[in-house]
Amino acid sequence: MRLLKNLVDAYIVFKMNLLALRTALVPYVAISLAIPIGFTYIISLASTQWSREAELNYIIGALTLSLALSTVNGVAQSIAQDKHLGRLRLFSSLPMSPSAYVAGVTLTHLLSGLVSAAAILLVGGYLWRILGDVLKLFPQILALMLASCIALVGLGAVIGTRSRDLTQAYMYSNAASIAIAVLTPAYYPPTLLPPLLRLASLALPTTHAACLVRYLLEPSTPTPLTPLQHTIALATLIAVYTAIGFAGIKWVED
Amino acid sequence: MEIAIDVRDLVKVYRGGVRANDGLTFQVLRGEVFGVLGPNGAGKTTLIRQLTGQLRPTSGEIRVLGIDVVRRPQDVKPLISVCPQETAVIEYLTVFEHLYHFARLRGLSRSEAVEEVHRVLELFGLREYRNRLVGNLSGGLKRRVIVAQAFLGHAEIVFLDEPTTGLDPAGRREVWSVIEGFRREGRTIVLTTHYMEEAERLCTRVMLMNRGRAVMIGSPDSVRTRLGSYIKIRFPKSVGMEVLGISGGSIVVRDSGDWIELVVPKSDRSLVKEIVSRLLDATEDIEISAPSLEDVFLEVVKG
Repeated sequence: MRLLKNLVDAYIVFKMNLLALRTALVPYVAISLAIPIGFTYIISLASTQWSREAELNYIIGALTLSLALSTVNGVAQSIAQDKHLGRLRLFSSLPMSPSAYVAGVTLTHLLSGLVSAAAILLVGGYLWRILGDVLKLFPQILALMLASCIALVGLGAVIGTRSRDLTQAYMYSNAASIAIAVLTPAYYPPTLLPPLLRLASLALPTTHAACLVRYLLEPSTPTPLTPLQHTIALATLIAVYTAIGFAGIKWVED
Repeated sequence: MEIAIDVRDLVKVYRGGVRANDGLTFQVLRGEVFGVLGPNGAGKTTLIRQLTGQLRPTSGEIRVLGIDVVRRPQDVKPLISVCPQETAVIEYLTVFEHLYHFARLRGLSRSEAVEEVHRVLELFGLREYRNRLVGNLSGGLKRRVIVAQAFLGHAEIVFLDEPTTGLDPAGRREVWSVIEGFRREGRTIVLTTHYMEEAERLCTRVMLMNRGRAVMIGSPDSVRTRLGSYIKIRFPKSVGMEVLGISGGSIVVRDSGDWIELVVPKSDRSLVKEIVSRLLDATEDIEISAPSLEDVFLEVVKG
């Protein structure tokens, strides 16, 4: 019964956020669709001389990071806005769980990220003539991207609910995004990282998702761990990050 | 009568050492409209946020309808509703959508939510605005939307943190009549306010707070009679204080816009007589009355 109420509440928060996007439909579509497609197209024009590996690096980077980073940033910033505009107090006075609220906010950003990721995947796959491979692996790739996003949602929620003001929320979420983007071996092969950073990158769910996407698209590429080990690591990190997120969300203030 | 809210030795010290609530102990009975009065910074909002499970107390005990709010806030929330002090609205929703989604989050089914929204739209005079985006409404109408959302559903206790701040007189009276209707239904309301007229009209009991402490608790009448040994004399400022030929001593002089108010001890009959006689020589425009709740409030704040 409680699970059902949480699911309904998450859907209602998601719907409220979607309705609120009506007046920002143009930037929403631009961010979700037009920019990723345009960017991928321009990159494809510039990449006529690229090797297959370079093309793969771009597509894996764009896929793994676009969804994860837009979700972590979007969740952190939306929650911070709700907090600092006083709306979080309105939500926290209601008989709903913080996880339902966070899930509702996440769904809004996930939807935008998924549209972007699908656009990159399909347009990039078509332009680089690997559409057949991409379509065949679409469900697995999408599942991996979603998994890494879900792991990072807790981080976004902690930043959003614990920020002292909007600027702090933006700074922390941007800093987290940059760290994730730099440390995730998505735009470059994992072997390029120095040993210490390679070790640090293993603590990020996006690393394992990127390695698994790379393995799916090009099984011969070397990855730091075996595909099974990456899968186990990704599952473990989802559990750890989610637990940290639950513990860190500030729903009742001190 | 059954106790709806039981607060014991409640202390809230914020990081940085600000003591917002300092050993509050009081009870609110079922069916009461309980007013919390006090100047800015008295600790009223901090108190409401602790009572509603949104802020963790430093120490003390809060039971709402017998449930320990500190340990089980999620069990209390279905039984209460809250109108926060901030007019925090989701600006890009219409008035109807705003109320409907909050009704749904309160656990009402779709059809119940629609019914409830129509009821509160009517109650708060918002029907004609139902399809307008909340962000395009005036500040007063936004406030009405936030107050209205607290009356969705069937909460046993409604907490209203300065509900009528920012409302025009008509809007204020609409909110008052809703609160009076709730009182007639025997439901419990806790409200904070700066408006003494509001407290006198609506509340069955009031608690005066100052610097985080409860200074007085009782019915508006009984609180007022704490200053019952005084008499209030009011006259136009244009008359001036000079005609009285007296100052200081046991008289409290207060500037009240175009009027001057004197609070004089009843026991000093000769002084009262002299003041009244001198004023009557200068003007016929004088008022003599018992002190109001506002006078008590100002005395408390001054003290």
